Amino acid sequence: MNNILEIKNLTKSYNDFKLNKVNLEIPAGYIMGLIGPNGAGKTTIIKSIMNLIKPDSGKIKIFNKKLENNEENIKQNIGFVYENEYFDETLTGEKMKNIIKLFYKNWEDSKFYKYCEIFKIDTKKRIQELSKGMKRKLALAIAFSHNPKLVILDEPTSGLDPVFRNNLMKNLMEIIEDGEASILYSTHIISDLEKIGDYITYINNGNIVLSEEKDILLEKYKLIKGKNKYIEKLKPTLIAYKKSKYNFKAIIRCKPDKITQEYKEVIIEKPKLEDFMIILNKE
Amino acid sequence: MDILISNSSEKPIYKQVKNQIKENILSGNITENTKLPSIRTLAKDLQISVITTKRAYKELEKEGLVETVKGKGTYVASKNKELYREKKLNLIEEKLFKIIEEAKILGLKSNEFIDLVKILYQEEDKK
Repeated sequence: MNNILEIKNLTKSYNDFKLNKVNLEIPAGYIMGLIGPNGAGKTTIIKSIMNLIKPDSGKIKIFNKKLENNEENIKQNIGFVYENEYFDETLTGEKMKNIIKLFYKNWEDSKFYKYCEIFKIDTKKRIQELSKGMKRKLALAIAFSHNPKLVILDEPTSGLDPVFRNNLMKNLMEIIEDGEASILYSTHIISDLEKIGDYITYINNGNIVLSEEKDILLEKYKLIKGKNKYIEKLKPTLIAYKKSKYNFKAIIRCKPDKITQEYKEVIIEKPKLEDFMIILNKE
Repeated sequence: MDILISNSSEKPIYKQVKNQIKENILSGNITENTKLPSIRTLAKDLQISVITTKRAYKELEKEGLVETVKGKGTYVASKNKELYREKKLNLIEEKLFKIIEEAKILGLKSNEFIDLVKILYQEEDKK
């Protein structure tokens, strides 16, 4: 399959943190969710893709081209939204757009205005007069207006209401509808990805813990809850567990029937993505 | 065609989509040779992942209910419908015979048996 993004053995060390040999692939036409707790390394990965930091080692290919030799060309086709906006806030949305569009060959004003209408952005207002949510929406409208083949979103919906988040999911599905563009979506608001994500990569402490098709994750793995006294016996079959005073919760990947037969007092449920994040998180 | 998706159901989403399209085909609600929406358009409209939708279509294809013409799209298969229904009905009858046999051994009367089926039928609907 044709990959939009390929990361191999990406490593970057800081004093107190190391991104450790990260591998990631997104085929054309799909959405990859990057999930993990704060400080797990999500933003370090994204900054490496955008060439904002220099990795210690590893390779990044975007649109089948090496990032280091083709940065200009590659960035023409990337739409990105960071956690914080970097606008000149004294300008109006309209003026900001007129500056940014100069950088993109494929810019389409009609698309920009379409998104402004959907998002209800007043482009005549100075950016400093816009609410935090509105600024974020403006950043999204800008990111979507030059027909990007790769959309990179870093916590795009934090602070946005559920109605908008739901509409945004529709916009993202439109972007990948022709099968040519892909989306890398980093977040800890996991419910967004539970619906539309094709692949999920879970990262913790700079290491990729899981990277799978979402459907496989939710189907092949089960959430199991039970009494603490069973934990020692079950341990070999558990991928990870969290113990509390009264019970434990764990993730397993095997036929749960066997376990329910042997241990009557366990509950087995379909996991949510959030369960993976909580149980796999090692403090 | 209506497709409802339950997130709390134990049934995986691809199966929910597959079953509902299947029902629509078998009931004649969508007729032979009708073009189904593309995988990506359906995924967008249902707000579910492309991979999930792909799997639903693949399963329908495996059962011979739809056919994909490369570069053109997916269509409801022709002719197969009646054959398919007949085959499935035979299968259900066979299984029922076996179950009835066992029910008789237990001394279950036909009305008791039918009541049991009714209850289970309703439970399955709730799933």
